[in-house]
Amino acid sequence: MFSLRSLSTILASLSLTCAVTVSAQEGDFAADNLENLKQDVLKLNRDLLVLEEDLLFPAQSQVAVYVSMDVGHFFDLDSVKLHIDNKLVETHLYTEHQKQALVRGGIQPLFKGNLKSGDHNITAYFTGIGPEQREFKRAATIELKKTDEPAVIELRISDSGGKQQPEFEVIEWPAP
Amino acid sequence: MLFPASTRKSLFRSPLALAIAAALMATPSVYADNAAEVQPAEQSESHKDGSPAQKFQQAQDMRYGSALYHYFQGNSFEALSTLMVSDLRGGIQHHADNADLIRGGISLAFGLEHQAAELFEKQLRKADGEGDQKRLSRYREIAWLKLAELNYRHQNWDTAALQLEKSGAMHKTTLTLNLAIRNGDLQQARQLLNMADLPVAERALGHNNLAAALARAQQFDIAAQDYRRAALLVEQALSRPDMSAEAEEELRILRDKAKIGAGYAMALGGDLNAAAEEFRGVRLDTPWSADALLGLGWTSVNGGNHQQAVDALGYLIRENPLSPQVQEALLALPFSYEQLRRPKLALRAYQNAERKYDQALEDLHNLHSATAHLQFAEINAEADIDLRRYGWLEDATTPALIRINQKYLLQMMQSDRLQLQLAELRDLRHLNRVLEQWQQRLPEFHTLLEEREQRRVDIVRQHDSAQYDQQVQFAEQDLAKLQASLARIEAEQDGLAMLATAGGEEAEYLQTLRDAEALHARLREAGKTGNYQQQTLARARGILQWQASEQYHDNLWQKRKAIAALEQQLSEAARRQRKVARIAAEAPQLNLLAGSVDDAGLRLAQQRNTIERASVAIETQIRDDMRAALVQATERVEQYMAHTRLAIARIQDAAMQGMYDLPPEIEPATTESPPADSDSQDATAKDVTEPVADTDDSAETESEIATEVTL
Repeated sequence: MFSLRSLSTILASLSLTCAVTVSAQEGDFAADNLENLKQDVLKLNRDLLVLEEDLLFPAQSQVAVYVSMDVGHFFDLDSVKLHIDNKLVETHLYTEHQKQALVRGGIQPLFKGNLKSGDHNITAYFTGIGPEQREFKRAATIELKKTDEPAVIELRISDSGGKQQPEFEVIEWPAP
Repeated sequence: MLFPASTRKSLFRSPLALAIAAALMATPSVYADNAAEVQPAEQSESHKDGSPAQKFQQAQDMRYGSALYHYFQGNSFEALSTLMVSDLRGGIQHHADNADLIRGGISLAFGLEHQAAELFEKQLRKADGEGDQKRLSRYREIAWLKLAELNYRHQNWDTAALQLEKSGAMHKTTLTLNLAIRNGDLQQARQLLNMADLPVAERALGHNNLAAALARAQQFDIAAQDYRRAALLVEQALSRPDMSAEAEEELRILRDKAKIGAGYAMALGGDLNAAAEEFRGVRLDTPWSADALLGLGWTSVNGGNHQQAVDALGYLIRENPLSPQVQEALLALPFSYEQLRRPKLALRAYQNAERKYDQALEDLHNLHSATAHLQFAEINAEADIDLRRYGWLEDATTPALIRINQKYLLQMMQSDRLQLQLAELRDLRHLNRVLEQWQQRLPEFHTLLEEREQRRVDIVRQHDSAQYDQQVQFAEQDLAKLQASLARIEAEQDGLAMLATAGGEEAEYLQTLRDAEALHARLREAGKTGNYQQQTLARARGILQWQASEQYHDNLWQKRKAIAALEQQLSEAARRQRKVARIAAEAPQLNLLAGSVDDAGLRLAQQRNTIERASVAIETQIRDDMRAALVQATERVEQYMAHTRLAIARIQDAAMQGMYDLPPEIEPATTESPPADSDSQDATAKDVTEPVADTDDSAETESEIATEVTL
């Protein structure tokens, strides 16, 4: 009455071949249409981001601050506080994913705002865990002479192999 | 049945997801390789788990770095948006040698396969003269490999093979093997597998794939050997001490799958004892243990070891929900009882099966009715980030109705098709959410534009006032006068004139002197003056001339200063005029921005509609697929039900004819005994069939059964 009748079926289902091809069936929403839709939404999102930047942060007064991390062996970043002209304008607490993204070479857009032409003081306070698992807090500052061009500031955290300490710098990039 | 999270994830991670993972992983590795070339000295450092520390190069372009920051967190949409904004703002200044490759990888992660292919092809078109040759060559290889994988997914086997050959990575990927299997050339597949330089998990997977292909070609003995080879590779790898927990779990899954495959191949090849041994090696606390237990059950039935069959099938039925394997076991178990000459137990088991099938049919019917109301998970803002973090690698949220009833829909749940549909649905929901947020912000943009327009109008109006123009005109006249006067004084070295224009006490004295001299001249004409008065006036003039010459340079400097200040004021006025002119010219720009906002509003509404239609289409597909799966499941259960009822009728008939009175009871079977330690993580199917104490205290005789049946 009974035999190994189901074994062939099961065996076929056990196939681990990386047959990653997925065939579309009749009546399915076409993959091409879906891709076109995604591209359209991306374009619209881009246009709105540009529009938002033009409206809220005009080039003459724009200042953008980024955070980067090179290596990160000597410093485990917890938070960054950004002061412009002694006024707190941004604070950020980092998740593990964000820290990993920084360590892997990503650059975080931390702050975007407006500044009048003239002299400004930009100070960043970094807190985290330093060498020997000690709490670590450092500040880095820059005197910015704002012109009519957009200002790009990088808060760079790097390792100093010689000192076995993290280093914190505020760097002004040429206007894009 | 509950399983650890890692096991659950491994279960539901489809081959499609694995392939995409491979594509995604390659992109960071490009980055890592890049860094390794720059700073090879630090390569020897190690992580805690023994793997070499990865070195990464910091991005040299802020926007490019920002895109990577988003991408490394799994936010492909934000990463692509950042790159697209960057294109409009002057593009990526650095990283030109691999920017297309990275963008292609991100596009692939977001399901933009055509765009990814175009970017990989663009990477391949890069001229040899551009950038570092060694790196560029490496990027080309990766681009070819990614194109090959894409074409493989689209079933363009020949193109994929050609591109794979060009990639130079033929022996570093299982794609070569899969292509050979696809072409049915299993001999070549074996050679390729032997030559390939693969990590142990991929090699084991390769052997499993090859074995499955061999089994499909009815070459069961060779297939079994490959399955066993895969299991052996895993055993050897697991003996190494530096393995991470996740890697160990992955290998154990591969071993279980290899053992199940080997068991079925051996069973089909006729070696039932060896097959049973393979099935016993599969861990019990896994979702696929049901396949092993069912295989063990059938192998035992066919090998005549009915007691072992009863133990395996009984355990399978007891410990699992009503999955397809359990449905089949419900029929196989009473058959084993019959073989053990336990008709009463067989009858009860058949009746139990009938009840369960009834229940299953009712469940399936209800599920079929509920399909129309299948609800799909709404996006949770917080959870959404995690869901998208690893792109398609992360399991999409399966609708609760399907998840709860997975015992009937497991095959559908594990299919690439459903996983892809759910991933697309999740992406569409995310896009809709992004557009919804923009829609909410558009009024704010309108307000901002109105404010800017108002400010512009105020400034222009102020500038256009007559009073302001008059002031500027007076200043210009004053300046002209001052400049002419100073030029004359300087030319004539006229100290007294300078004194007069300097103002102050001396200027008053000079004016008084001039008035006195004029009066004296009139009096002299009338003959009313004397020498004393003339001498006094001459002395006063002399003193003032002396003072004028003393103060000449100081006064000259003061005059020049005044002229400079006036010029500065006029220059400032001119600058202000230019600024106002610029602001006045902003009107068309503001109009343009306002037009863009209006246009965006229309596009937002249009695209949200399209997203809605696409979502509905995909949801309908899922519902249709679910109905089809339920119909299939119903047909299967109905077949089992028919067999069961026939068997019940047969036993009752035999009992009525007294045929079951004859044989003596043999050793009673154990049907409900749990294994020695079923909770143990390493418990295997072998534990199910270990000898256990007999708990069947049935004292009923076969004649009693006959009576019961007759009644």
